Amino acid sequence: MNCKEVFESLSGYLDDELIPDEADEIETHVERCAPCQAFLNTLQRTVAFCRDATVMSLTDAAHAEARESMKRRFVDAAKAIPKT
Amino acid sequence: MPHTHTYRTDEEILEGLRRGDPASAEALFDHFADRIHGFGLKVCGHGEDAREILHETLVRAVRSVKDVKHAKALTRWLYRIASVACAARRRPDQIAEGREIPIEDLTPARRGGVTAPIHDWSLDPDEESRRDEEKRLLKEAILDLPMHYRLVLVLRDMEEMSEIEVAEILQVPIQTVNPRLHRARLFVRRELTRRLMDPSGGTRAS
Repeated sequence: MNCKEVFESLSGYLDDELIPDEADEIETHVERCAPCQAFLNTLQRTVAFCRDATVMSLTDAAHAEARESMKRRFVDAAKAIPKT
Repeated sequence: MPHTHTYRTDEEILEGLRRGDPASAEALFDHFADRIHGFGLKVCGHGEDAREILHETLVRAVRSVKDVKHAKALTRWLYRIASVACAARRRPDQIAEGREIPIEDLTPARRGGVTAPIHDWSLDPDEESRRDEEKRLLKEAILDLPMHYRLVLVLRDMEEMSEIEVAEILQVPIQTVNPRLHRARLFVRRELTRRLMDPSGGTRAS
C-alpha cells in the first residue's frame, strides 16, 4: 500500500470498517512512513474534536428565557395551522 | 411556559399532532427543540440561523405531519426538514451539490513518489488556552465546508447518526455517505492544520 492508498482509506481505518488485511497494511505502512503517521494522527485528532464538540444548549438555565420565547412563538404558530 | 402536557413518547406526540391537539405541539418542542437547535447551530454557526431553522422545522413538521408513517421515523424526518432548512442557507460561492472535491486536493503533496513532511500538531502540548483556540478554529473550518459535506460531517461525527440514517435524512445513495464523510474530515483536517500553523490563515499547509 502506498501513501495515496493510505490517505484514501484512513476514515475506514479510524471507524474500524476495513477488513483486517487492509487495516494491517495501513499499520505496516504508517509505522515506516513519518508523513503518513503524522497525517493519521492529525486526522484522528480532527475526528475527536468533532465528536467532542459542544454547542450552546437550550436546556441550560442561562438560556431559559430564549427557550421560552422560541417555544411561545412556535406554539402560537402551530395553533394557527389549519387542521387537515 | 410550564409543561402542560403529558406526552412522553414519539408515538404519543405523533398521534397528538395527527389529532391536532395543541398540547402535542408543545410536547414536540420539549422533546426536540434542543437537538434541532444544536444541529442548526453546528451546521450554520449562528444563533439567529439556528433559531429560525428550529422554528421552520417544527412548523413544517406540524403542517405536514401526515407524511410521517411511523413514530420511529420522527427524529430522522425532523432532521430531514432541518437539513433542507440549513441547505437553503448555503453560501452562493460554495461548490455545487453533487460535485466532489478530489482527494488529491485534501492530502499532502507528493514529489518524486515521496510524501512531503507533515507537521504533526496532535503532538503539540495540550494546554487549556490552546483548547479554546482549537474549538474556535474547528467551528471556522466546519463552516468553510461546502454544505453537502458539512451536513454529512455534522450528522455522522457530531450527531452520531449511522450511514443508513444519514442517507435517509439527506436522501442520497448510501454509497455516497462515507466517501463524503472522508472528504469532509480531510478538508477540516487541512483547514485546522493551516490555521494552527498560521492563525492569520495565510499559508497553504498540508
